[in-house]
Amino acid sequence: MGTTMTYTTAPAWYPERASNSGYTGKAFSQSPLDTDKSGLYSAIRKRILTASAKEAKPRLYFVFPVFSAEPPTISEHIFATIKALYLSNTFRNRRIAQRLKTLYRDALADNEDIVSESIDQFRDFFLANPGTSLPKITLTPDGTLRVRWIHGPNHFVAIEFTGEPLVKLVAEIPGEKGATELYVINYSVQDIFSVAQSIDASFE
Amino acid sequence: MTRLSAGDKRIKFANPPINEVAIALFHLPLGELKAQHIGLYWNRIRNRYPRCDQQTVIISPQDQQPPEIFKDVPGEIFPLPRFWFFSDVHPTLIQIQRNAFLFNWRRGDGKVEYPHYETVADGFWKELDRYNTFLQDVIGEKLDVIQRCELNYVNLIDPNEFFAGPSEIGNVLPLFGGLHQVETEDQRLVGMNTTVTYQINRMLFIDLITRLGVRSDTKQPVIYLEMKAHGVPDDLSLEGGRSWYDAAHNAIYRMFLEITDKQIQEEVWEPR
Repeated sequence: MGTTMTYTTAPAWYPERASNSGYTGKAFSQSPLDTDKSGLYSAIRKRILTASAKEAKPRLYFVFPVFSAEPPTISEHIFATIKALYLSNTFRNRRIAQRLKTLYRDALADNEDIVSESIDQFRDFFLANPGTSLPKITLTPDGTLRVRWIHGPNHFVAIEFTGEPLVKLVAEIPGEKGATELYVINYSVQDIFSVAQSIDASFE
Repeated sequence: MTRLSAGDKRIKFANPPINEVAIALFHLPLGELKAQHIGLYWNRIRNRYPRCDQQTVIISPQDQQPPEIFKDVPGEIFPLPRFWFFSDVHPTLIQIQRNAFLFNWRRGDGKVEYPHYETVADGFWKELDRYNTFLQDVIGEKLDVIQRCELNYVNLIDPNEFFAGPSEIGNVLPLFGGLHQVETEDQRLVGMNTTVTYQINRMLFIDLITRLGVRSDTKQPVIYLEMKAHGVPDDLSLEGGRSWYDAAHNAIYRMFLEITDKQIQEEVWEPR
């Protein structure tokens, strides 16, 4: 066993496609990276070829846009976000990815939606700010993600990833003589962290 | 003569043209899975899969290019390839890479009888379960979030009483019957290469890939008919994958009956 059908068809462009198929038919040629001897020489060559490929200019005779026959789905979006967090290799981000997975599955079970743009803002915030601690993460009735760092009575900071151009920060911060200051700030997700720091909001 | 249709009781053919079936599951990449673990996994299945090969990784269409996890993993000097585990005495093949598990049934030299989907799927789930157990034991991970499921049927249709060459492709695939009508004395149909995609539901698509040409080993005409279902269960779960694969098999089955000619179904592939 192990021999598979070998055939050719014309025109034959599908070796490239085969590299992305589970099909093992020998008609699919291996890529140049896969044809050399194993061992150190091969590994070094792979590195060099990979580097060369990155630098090589495209030799297309015409340029066509990237397109897909499949419409994008929310599950694909969720997967991409979970993967980005999971692969960032921090314990906190893995916990966040797990929480997002749970929230998504709960929302599905309850026939609720998660706003796609809210997921993007959520991801961007945590990837850009690795120093914050793990917050409480919830889904609002509007389908947006909300995170909260609760430090005690009348002392918290929360961000709602609205999916709109500006995210919403709400914070209660103890002031002088026992007073509590309430902040409600709408700002871009890129700058919301530094804005929060400027009012002494803590993400510990 | 009884006409076959997808609405009737499930038909199983005695001589289906199936050359290979591949069941693939793409999942969240396992950064902790290193080359040393592959050897440990092989050791668990080596009595049934005594041979091992390395292949280049398969890139999921959603990724467009190899994810970083295949290139820059802490503590890894050489990128982890895709591994084949197989045997010379049985027709199944296990493939694993950092973000995928695949199980293939291959006809090989043509003497193996196709055991039908239920048997192949059962093999897939048993091996996947063993792999999942291994991952939990050795790296403390399990396959949970799924990126993509695929069920791929590759059929090769060799010359038979209905198909002797390109001009008779319509006897196998009536949709393409008109192609040879534009043949003249100075132009001849010799090959074809098409891919179309059908959406079955929100989570399930089928790529129908048809090619016409000549086999390099026998020098005989051949029709290549691939039906590749792909998609993902809504909840991205392994359990959701079970019903996804069954739905995909059902959709491929119906499509096969619809796009191939009834006469060749009855007289060459022979319903049981």
